[in-house]
Amino acid sequence: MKSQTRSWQFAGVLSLYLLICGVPLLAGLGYSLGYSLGLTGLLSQGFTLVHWQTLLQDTDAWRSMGYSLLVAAISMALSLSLALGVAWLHELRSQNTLRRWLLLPLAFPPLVAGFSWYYLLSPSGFLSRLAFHLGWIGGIEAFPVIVNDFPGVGLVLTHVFLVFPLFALLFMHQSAKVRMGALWQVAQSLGSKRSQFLRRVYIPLQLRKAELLIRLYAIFLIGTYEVALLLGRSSPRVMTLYITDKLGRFNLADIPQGHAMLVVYILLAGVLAFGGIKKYRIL
Amino acid sequence: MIAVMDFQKKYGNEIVLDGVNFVLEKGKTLCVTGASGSGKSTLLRLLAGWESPDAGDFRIAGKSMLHIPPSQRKVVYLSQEPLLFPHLSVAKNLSYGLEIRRLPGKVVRERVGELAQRLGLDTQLHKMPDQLSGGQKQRVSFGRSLIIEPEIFLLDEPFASLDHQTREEMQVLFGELRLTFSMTTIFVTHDIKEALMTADQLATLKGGKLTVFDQVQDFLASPESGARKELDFWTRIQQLQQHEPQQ
Amino acid sequence: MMQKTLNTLIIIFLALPLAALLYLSAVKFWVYPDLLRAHFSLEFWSGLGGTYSGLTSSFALSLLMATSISLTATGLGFFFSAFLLLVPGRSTWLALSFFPYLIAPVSFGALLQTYFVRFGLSGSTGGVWIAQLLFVVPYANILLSTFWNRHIRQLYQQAITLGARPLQALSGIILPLAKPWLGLSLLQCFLISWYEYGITRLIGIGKVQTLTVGVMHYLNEANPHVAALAAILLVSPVVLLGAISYIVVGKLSLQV
Repeated sequence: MKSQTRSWQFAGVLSLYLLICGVPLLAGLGYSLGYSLGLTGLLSQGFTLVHWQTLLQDTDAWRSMGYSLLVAAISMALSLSLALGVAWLHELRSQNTLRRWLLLPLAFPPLVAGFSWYYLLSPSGFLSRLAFHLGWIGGIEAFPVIVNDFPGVGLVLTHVFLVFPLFALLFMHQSAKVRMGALWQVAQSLGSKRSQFLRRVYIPLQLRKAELLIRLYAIFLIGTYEVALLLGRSSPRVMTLYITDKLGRFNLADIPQGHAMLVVYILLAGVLAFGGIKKYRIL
Repeated sequence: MIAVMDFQKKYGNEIVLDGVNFVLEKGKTLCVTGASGSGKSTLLRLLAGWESPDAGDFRIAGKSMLHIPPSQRKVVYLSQEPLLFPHLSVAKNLSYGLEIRRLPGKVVRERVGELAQRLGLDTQLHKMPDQLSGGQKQRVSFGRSLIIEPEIFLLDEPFASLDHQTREEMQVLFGELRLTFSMTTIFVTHDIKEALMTADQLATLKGGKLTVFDQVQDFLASPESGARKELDFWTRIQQLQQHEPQQ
Repeated sequence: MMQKTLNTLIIIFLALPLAALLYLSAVKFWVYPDLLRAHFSLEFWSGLGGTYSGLTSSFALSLLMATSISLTATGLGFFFSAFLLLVPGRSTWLALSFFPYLIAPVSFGALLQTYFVRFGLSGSTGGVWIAQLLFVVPYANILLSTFWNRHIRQLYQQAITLGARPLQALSGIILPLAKPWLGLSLLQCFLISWYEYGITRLIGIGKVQTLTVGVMHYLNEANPHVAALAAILLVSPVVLLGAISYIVVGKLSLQV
């Protein structure tokens, strides 16, 4: 009797867990998949692959996906390079002041970071005015457009502002943990030059140890939304903007494509994350 | 007196305990030897109440313990690691069992002081567990259990993680404590020497079956206990030493 | 020398956004190319009690929401992470909770939207609260599952074996040991909710005015000065927390 009660309690808690941590995501994903296959929704007429075909033929969708991946890759590469450099210089000479400043961006939600950088980089923004007062430019039109631009300079810069400090702090911490200074001394005594040590020991070691976090942050950047909303452009636009635009349109025919892209985005994030995540023993 | 009757336990298709029976008198120590994975720890976990047997019974003074929750069995399980509560001082670790029983503060202090003195821990009471040596941690662990005067101690290779010297010291200390406190103990070990030093009664677990030996000689002679092999080894060493040419 | 210059440049890069926000919140009629000579005014700040009292109520709403979500999610996360220890195939179950680390909140909002509309939760504070909670609980669950290991379980069993009832073992042994994890979870969950915009926008459909929604609202109204004020309110709790811990403890508690 007692063990039967226990079994019920166990099943009850497991159901509650599923209800909170599994059902919403899976139900939402199921709905989006169903919508994209014509099984549900306002214009549903039964199973069809036409919306997926439209998505696959939509160059805007492909550009959106490619643009998201590109922006994330460039932002990540710049952030990691800067963080590796800062952590290495810190290793040579400890800079506690810098360490404190590195914590500041952690207080910035992406929305606020996007807003601040927009007003710093826009043609009428701070840097443009500063350039004008320094006599570098003659007026607002002479300042290069780096917000809502195609290469996404402002977008990438804001990402670097958000991501690089965290990695710099992480690399400093890792350096201390593996006693990088001592390793550098050993390498020197073995005849290694600085560039050789950096290339063969410092960079691979740091990146390997931070691999999981790098992966997670890359996924985070692929899903960028608030920053892209403020600093990105309408074409090409990042995936999350493509999805919200399509889902929020008055043209009902666009909605299934939005759902199809949502499914693609979630699958992409899943593949990028779980392709090798087991080895980190997080789960 | 404690009695274990026809204990059975399976994990999937694997039979871990297959009709284990024994009786142990109050104040006595039963040493159970056996290879790794022979089910020694499972036996202790069943007695402690962490798991339920598939069949059989376990009685203390004639009363079945199977439906009594672990916290009310008065059966203390001590493992290889001392498992001291890391956020509590030595004194607080020792008094834990009394405090949760809401004994008056004065009584708790007296008993802790008295026990600490007997265990040679009176100067360590204010320390935190991470400031103690391995042997000291085990003393605290013993003390923390002794203070609540349990019916049975279940010791699961308690000295396995200690260095050789500390291990011997602890074996001697255990020998003293079990006599002083008249501890009823089931002591699991794979160390034959330790088993011989500490046991009143010897047993071996193999293939899910527990063989209890009435005499030490039976234990030593039994191929199942593994004692024969160990004795042969030492005899050979002794013979080698005798034949070694004098320098 | 070169290192010092580089450090200075990095510090400027890190400090610029905050400086820009402070500046924007303290000027009005900001016409090009005004910079040092501008119409400095504390009008927007003083308006917090009157003209812009909407921001104060947004601040209160965000604070209330983030605090309650953080407490609930940490509680549930702790409970679930402990429970999952008992479940065979723990890692598979735990994998379900991994999604907040992977997908953007706005996508989660997009997935939930239809159900929230159907259940009449769209556009309500309660709806936003539930949607954010559904995003934050799995996060807390994953974070707190790193606390539970064999050793903690053994300590719990040790307490029980010494006669403690499960609640006594939980309050006397487990919770004190879990304090750093619980603190981290409370902080992280608070920040996720405090910073959240995507879910709130899609589920709240503009009717639930949290601070982040307020920032975007004023930006869309082309009023960067009040938006900056709202943004400072968003950033300030964490900056203040860091500053206080630096002063009180003598060093930043967030030291990595």
